[in-house]
Amino acid sequence: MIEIADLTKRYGSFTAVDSVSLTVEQGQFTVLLGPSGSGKTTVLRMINRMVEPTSGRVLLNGVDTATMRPESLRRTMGYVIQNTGLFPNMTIRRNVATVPRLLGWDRRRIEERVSEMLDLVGLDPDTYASKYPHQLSGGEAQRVGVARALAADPPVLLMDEPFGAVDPLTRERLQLEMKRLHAKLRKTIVFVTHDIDEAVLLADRIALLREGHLEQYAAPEKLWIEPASEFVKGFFGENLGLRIMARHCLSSVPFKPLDPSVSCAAAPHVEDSVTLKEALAELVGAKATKLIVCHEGAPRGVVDFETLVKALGDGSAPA
Amino acid sequence: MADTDLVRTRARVVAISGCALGIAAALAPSGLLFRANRVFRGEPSSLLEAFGAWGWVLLCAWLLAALLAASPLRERIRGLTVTLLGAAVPILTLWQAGSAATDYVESTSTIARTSLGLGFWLTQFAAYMLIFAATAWLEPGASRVALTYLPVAGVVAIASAGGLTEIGIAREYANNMSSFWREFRLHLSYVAGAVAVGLVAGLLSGVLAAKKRSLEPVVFGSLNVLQVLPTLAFIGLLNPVLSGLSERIALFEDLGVRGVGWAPVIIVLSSYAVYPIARNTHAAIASLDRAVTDAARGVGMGRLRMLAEIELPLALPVVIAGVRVALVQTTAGAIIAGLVGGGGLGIFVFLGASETATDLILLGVVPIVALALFFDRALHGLERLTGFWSSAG
Repeated sequence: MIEIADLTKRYGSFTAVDSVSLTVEQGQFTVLLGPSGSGKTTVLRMINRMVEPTSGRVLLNGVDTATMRPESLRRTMGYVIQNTGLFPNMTIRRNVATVPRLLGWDRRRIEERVSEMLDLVGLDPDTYASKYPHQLSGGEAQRVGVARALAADPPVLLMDEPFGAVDPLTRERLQLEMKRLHAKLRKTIVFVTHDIDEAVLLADRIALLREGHLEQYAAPEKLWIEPASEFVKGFFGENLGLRIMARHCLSSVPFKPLDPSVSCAAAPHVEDSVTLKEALAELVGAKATKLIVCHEGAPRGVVDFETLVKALGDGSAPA
Repeated sequence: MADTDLVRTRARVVAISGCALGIAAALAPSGLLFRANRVFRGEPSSLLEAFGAWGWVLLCAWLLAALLAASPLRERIRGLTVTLLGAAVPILTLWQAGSAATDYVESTSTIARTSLGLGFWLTQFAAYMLIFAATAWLEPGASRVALTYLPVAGVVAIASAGGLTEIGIAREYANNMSSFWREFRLHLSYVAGAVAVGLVAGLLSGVLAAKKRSLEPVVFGSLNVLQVLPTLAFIGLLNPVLSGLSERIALFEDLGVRGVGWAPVIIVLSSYAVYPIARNTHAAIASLDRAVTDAARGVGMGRLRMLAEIELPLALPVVIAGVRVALVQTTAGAIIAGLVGGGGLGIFVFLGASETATDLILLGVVPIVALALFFDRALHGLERLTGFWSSAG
């Protein structure tokens, strides 16, 4: 758990971060979102003390981080940055092994861990371990960056616009993999981005920052239903509802009962594994008023426009 | 890619200019100098005259090389033929100069000397230009390196077959053989010692200037002062200091520290060697990719470990480029030792100058040039090797 209390950073007369307080629960995926210059990266860098706060505190599991050695603190927090920051003079193996080496693990354990991490991020260890960073594509390099951050199994992962420099298709794939990794590993993640889609897709809670102030800190659904200010409402815009629909799986929605004689092949239908947004697109695309929901070809129930919208309105839990 | 295209187009210009220079040098009036004895003024002769029929072969080789360089032939063929012609030039001219010298001695007396003149040296330079340009058309690799060193092998072969014994510089070598190698080793040890001190001091001051911004002007300010101080003035200033030290402290006296000799030479040479190494170290570390250093800090590396594992390895190719400059500069600079009682190849230069024996001067200068070229090439290779991780390599 990370507790940030009254955190402030001033550079001369300029206040980059102004008394920000927020708590990131164990295993929670928090996104720091805001336009450039909003102070989101500074907040992130104060968590691992790459930047020292002017005032305020950061507590890690109740311990004030100011009392720890910065190097030791950083070894307990994976760190992923936009331009990967892979060490060009080291092989992928050695890059991934960095923190375990710093922690003095023995060689066999490191070797095993490197393979495990490369597998985890979808890179074949035999192919990639002996390569050098300049031999990788942007997407591959960023995966290695994530593998390096996770190598020593840190409870916390800090990510500073990690997917900002890769092409849109790769970015989308990396986002989905990040979501999968979080579901699997339940790390406490603090993730900085200015991309609203990315934030809404990934976050358990979003901290929206503006000019160093925390505007609102809440789940995306809550930001939609109860925006704390006009700024919050304006920042997310009209599309927030649709974006939130992309977070939820159709199977989490209460379907309407179904006439047992209907078959999946006969009428417009969707699989229950799709997101609400995809179901809505299907509904509009079929020019239908309702869709039959199927699970592996067997009809399960019926959804219509009203069910889809209501699923968000009652603030049901994210998928 | 555009960069290498440019290099290849320029290679044509360099190659053809080399040929033009080569032709001019073959016709130049002082290709070889025939002297009645080692300090006599001598009778100049152009290479064309001195070599007889082989002189015309030399001219034809230059013309052919120019034609091939300008031709639309495939790059590989063009590169190979022009390089081979370029390699033939030093072999041909040295062999012919050697036999012209032998003929001259046989037709006059054994104290007669044949010296290599300006036309001869310009011919060698023109051949170097030609080979340098033509190898740009070849694929990099072992065979290209081998081709580059073909003329060196040829020269060694001619020399060991005794084809050069009557040339002035070889005669001087024969007369000074034992002292030559002693001074050669001494010269090398000055260079090695000075560059070693320069490397340690240069790395330290370069890292210091890069890490502590406030110290940067102090470090480079003092290095600049050392750099602009003329060598002899520097040694002169050191003289009273060093003699004083050695009079007062027995250890210094035992080590042979005096106002003249090896001590001021090493101090002066290493002071000059610091500058290029410190400059390059500073520039390389200061310009490292911020993302990389940020990540190194972010994963919890300490400052020393970051320096040892990330910053210095990444700066290495640029640091080596600085060492290369320092080596070449020190190899030439160490001549000064010959003037202040330190020995080294410089003694041949200064002795030759005082006796107006050009060949004796060359006995000092030619090995220095050869050493400098060797260091330059060798360190160049090392630079590329240590920069293997960059996408360009």
